[in-house]
Amino acid sequence: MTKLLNVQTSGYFRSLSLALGLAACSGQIGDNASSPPGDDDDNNPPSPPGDDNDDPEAPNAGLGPCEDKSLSARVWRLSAAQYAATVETALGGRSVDLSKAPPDAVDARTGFSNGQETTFVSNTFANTLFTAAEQAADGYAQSLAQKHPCMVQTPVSDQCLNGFVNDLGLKLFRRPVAEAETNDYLALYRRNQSRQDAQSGGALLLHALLLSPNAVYRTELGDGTDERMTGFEIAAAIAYGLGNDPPGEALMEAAREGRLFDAGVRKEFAREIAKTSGAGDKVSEFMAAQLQVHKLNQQRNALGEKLVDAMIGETNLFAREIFASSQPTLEQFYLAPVAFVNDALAPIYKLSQKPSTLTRVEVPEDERFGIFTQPSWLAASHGPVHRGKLIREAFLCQDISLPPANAGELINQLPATPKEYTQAEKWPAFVEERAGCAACHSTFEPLGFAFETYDSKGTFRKENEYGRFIDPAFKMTDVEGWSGEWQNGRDMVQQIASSQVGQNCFTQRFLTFAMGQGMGDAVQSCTTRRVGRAFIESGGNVHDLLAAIVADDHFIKRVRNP
Amino acid sequence: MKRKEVLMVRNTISRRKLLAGIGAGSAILSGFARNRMADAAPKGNFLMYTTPNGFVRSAFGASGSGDSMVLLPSLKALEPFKNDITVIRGLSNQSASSFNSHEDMCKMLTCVHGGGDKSTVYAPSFDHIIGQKLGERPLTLAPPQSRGANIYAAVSWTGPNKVDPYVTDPLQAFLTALGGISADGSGGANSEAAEKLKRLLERRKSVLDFARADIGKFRSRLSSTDANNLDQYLGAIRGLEKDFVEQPAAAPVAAASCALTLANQKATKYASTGPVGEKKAIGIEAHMDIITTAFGCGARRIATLAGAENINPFGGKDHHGVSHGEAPLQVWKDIDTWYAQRFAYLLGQLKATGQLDHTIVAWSSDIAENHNQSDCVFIVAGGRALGMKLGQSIRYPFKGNSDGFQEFALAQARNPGNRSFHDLWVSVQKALGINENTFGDKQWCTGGLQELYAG
Repeated sequence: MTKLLNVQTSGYFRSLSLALGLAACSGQIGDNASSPPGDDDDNNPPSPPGDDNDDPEAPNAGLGPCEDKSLSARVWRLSAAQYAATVETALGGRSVDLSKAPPDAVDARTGFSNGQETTFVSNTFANTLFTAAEQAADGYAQSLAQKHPCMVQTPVSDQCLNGFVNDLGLKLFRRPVAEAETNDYLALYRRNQSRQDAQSGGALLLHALLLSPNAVYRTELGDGTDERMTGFEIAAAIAYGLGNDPPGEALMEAAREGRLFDAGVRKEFAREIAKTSGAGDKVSEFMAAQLQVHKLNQQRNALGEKLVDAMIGETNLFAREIFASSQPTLEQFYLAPVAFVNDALAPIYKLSQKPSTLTRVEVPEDERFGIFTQPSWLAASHGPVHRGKLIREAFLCQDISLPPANAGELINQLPATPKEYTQAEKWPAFVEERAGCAACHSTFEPLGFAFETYDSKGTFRKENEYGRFIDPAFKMTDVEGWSGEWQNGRDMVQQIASSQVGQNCFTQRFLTFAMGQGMGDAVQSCTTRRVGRAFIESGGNVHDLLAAIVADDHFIKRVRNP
Repeated sequence: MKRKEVLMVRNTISRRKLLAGIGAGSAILSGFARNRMADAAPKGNFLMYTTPNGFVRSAFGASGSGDSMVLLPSLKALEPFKNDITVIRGLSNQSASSFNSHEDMCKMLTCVHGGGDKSTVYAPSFDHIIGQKLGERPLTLAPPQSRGANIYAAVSWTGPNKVDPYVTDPLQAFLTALGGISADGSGGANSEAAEKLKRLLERRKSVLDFARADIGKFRSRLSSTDANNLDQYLGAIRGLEKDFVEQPAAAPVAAASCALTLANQKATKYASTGPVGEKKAIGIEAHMDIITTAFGCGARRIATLAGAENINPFGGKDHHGVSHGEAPLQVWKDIDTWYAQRFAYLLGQLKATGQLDHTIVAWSSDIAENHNQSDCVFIVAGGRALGMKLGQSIRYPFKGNSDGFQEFALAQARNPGNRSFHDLWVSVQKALGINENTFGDKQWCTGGLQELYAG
């Protein structure tokens, strides 16, 4: 049975038509006249003002005027994983342990913890950083004679010190060290040389390099001559935006030669980076954030460490596998009937095999599909309210207002319904008796009904705890431009994956994650619209999405503010 | 999404207080401290680890020996240390009071019945007695959540009714633990180490001064928003200077050396986050680190560490209530498991620093499952180099009824066929070089547990 729900968009929800009517056009698409030589704007073809699509049949055609807006010039602290990978690369494999650094806060506006505005060096982060950097510097200095022989000669020459600082600084700062900077490091060494032996002196310099804000932060400031970032800043933005590793030699060489102002070159590098495990890590982090898997940490006592680790591990492995496959598409992420199961997860998947490590298994399509039936998010988000809210916000990019102050009281006064009813069966009474609540809840809660066939740990079931058959079929119409009528969860997710709203949302979310700041939706932002169009035209290929992001003109432009 | 608030998903635990006066270590000093640990404690150390409110026996114990030794579920965390432990069941305190309940915690290490009154202590405890004979001062610690050395929790006594109060604050515990080391290095440090420490602190100061200037130059290029971000880093650098340079420089040289080792072990752990159980674990493990370091530095050889008497690491009903059936039995087992995980951590630290073979650690609870000191379970770990027999389970049959209360329970425990706590402490003191056949009330001593120590 399909329940019919006609949702009336309430006043405080921004409807698509309203957005179309109010959105301003302040941008010029493909403004070649202002682009410096070397720009290849084949990704941003000239368009009439206020309209980003020439082809009325093209994806995102007809959305009306959009705004072409650059992010502000900024600095952005590397994540612990990015810093560790950078140091490890610079020091030839010597690792720096920041695994115990405090996790960065999740930004409630975006759901991501890597935001440029919310990552900073806290006292606890600094403590971990200082200790880890000191240990790494001491360890590296033990082989100083092999790696930098001149550093253990007496006296150490300026030329030798220059070489040491410039060599390591290039890798740690992801740019050549300026002469004035090198001189500062030389002075630091000379001030201490009477008190330190050669090994300690080398460690001192390296420790200072490792604590430098030039190593800890990446800059997107440009050189002041135009609105573009410098080539080296672009290289870092590509490397850290799409992965966690520092820019490799080829990318640094392209930066040095000024080739990264060319969108086509950036695209090629994006495609190469997409083949690396670092990019797989990044996509995995993104998927985990989309699913709000971090909430599972609050349930470690209730579920047990092993099960929680297995749940998180499965989402990680799944995302990495799909991204590394020949079909790294949105549809595969959302619908592939594949799971990774160990002995802790086997009961949830009702598997008799209980491998000691997470092992890939193919699962029945009618029960399991992609990330949406993974226990990680189903256990982290219980019930149709939380599950529906997450889907609407993270996978349809539609806002939900905060509940009213008296929501708690209203919950306690809900209409009585037979306890054995499914959530969907209780819904009509809720709509009838709590019309004010239902106006908002009807925009997301039905999405959660589709997952009532999964219990609080993510085990598939056909009946609820009272033995009542669960019918996941439902229908929603005209919720900010997305309508769906589904027989089950897979059906609903399929419709999200194939809809322009769903694909644009994925684009918008990944752009926010990669850029560290919200870029706006496909209605507001020309960048989101352009990137979304490329993504949709590629058949939802996530590798192509990465390429489209870095190729966009606004990936390399920053506006300086006071 | 219009909301502006930032959701903080972590609960940061400040380690500033702990690390003030401690500092963090370098590879140079870590290596030095490790060497010292190997040299400094050849005589043997003793640690009593007590946890409150008894264990669920059906899940707490072991059977078999060697590779075929099987640990019951609550002790699974000790699996990696099977060859380093002996699990003993069947010991009773035949010197308990006639009340025979939590209040007899004070009888656990004193083993003197005296007038038989509850909450009354008639002799110094084992740690102080052997401390006096070995010329050592015991260290008495409990985690920060402890309510102190009240009669339900105090295990260490300097004399009749004279409690040795717990040190609960990690910093105070650290300073207390290392108080035995003299500033001139005669307590263990040598001049080479002192010179290394001096150079290290100078180096750190230079690095931090440079970082401060470096951040200032970097900051000058930024917008006001990003400059605020860098100000956080700048502020943190000032804090680092205090923690890593000023306070260690003010500490006695040898103490600072050990402090560096300690901070090296835990510097990041104190910044870690996690569920409530993990935070409470940090409290106990901090003290375990302090004891490990104090033993390793030769500052102390004898210590007691008590779990907080009423803490349920998972929240909900308190541990005492849980032990009285106010929560499902599984909760009690989970708490036992949690304490076993902490014990495993301790053994791991002792083993990693090369001390387990000459450190005897005994773990038990104030009472058995039925609120008396009958048919108890003890885990004894380490001390192989001192002659302790490990990698086994020992089951001493309990004669009579171990489920009774008060006077009845004591009468049952005093069955001549039962073995007493006294013999365990006799064995331990012999292993530590005190060759005496009795401890506490002599009538309950039979010369030691031959299965545990044959010397």
